[in-house]
Amino acid sequence: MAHEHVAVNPLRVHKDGIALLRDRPRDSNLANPRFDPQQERLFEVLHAALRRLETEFADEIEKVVAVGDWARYGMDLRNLPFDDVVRLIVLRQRERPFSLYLQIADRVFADLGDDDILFQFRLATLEEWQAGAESTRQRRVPDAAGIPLLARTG
Amino acid sequence: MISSLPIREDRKWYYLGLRHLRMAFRLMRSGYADGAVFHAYHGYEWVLSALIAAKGYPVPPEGWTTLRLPTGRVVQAYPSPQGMIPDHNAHKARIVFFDQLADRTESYYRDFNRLSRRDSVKASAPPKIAPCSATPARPTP
Repeated sequence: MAHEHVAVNPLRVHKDGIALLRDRPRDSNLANPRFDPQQERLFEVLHAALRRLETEFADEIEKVVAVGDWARYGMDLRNLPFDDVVRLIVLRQRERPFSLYLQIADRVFADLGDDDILFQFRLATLEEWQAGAESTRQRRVPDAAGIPLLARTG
Repeated sequence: MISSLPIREDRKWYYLGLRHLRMAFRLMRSGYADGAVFHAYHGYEWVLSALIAAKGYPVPPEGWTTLRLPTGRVVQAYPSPQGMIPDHNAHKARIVFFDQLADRTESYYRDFNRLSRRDSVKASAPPKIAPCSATPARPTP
């Protein structure tokens, strides 16, 4: 596949998104005495996975977004690893081959040591992502689009 | 009706897994990608179930029971090698169960780890009870 040599903004951690995601589970964990250490553990592993995505797949990724109930409503961290902790990886290419899914599973998540969390992910093309984001705007549910974790910013 | 010999539980799940995989292939060749995904996922879960059964554990949702913890607290969970699985959701419970039972040095574990990263189907389930951090529980008499 030919690639145009176009200067693009680098893929970086979205600090506002991370801060928002940190704040999400507070209401769901008011009765959880282990919230702070569990939260730290969750974000330690989250950041490790994001670093690997930046290092190994920066050319393929447009953005990474936390999606699902954990991003939209928060979750009681005591329910891990049973509640879904999902990231949507938005690709810069027009297709999302299964081979790329396997590569990401192998090189980012294989030895992450997250048995107590079980991070999962799905892939989407930029076109699919944009269609989904537009749908959330039209339905006036912007929270459903997720929280950015990695993004290309100037 | 011809009576059949009883089949080992682990073989039963394994054969079901192969059957769903064959259905998935046929649906894929017929152009029904959504049906293929459905049956491929169920093939995957039945193969996980085969190992759970081979290790002597009931396959979720079987095995959901009441446990009395050493602290005296009573919870509902699946007894497992690492204590208990307190989530009634059979889909996620099978994944967690398999992870606890699998031999991580075997090549199949790599395939399992890859596939388990796919965001899983969430079946409707009763409200979750927040798990406690107690030591492995003993079944109530």
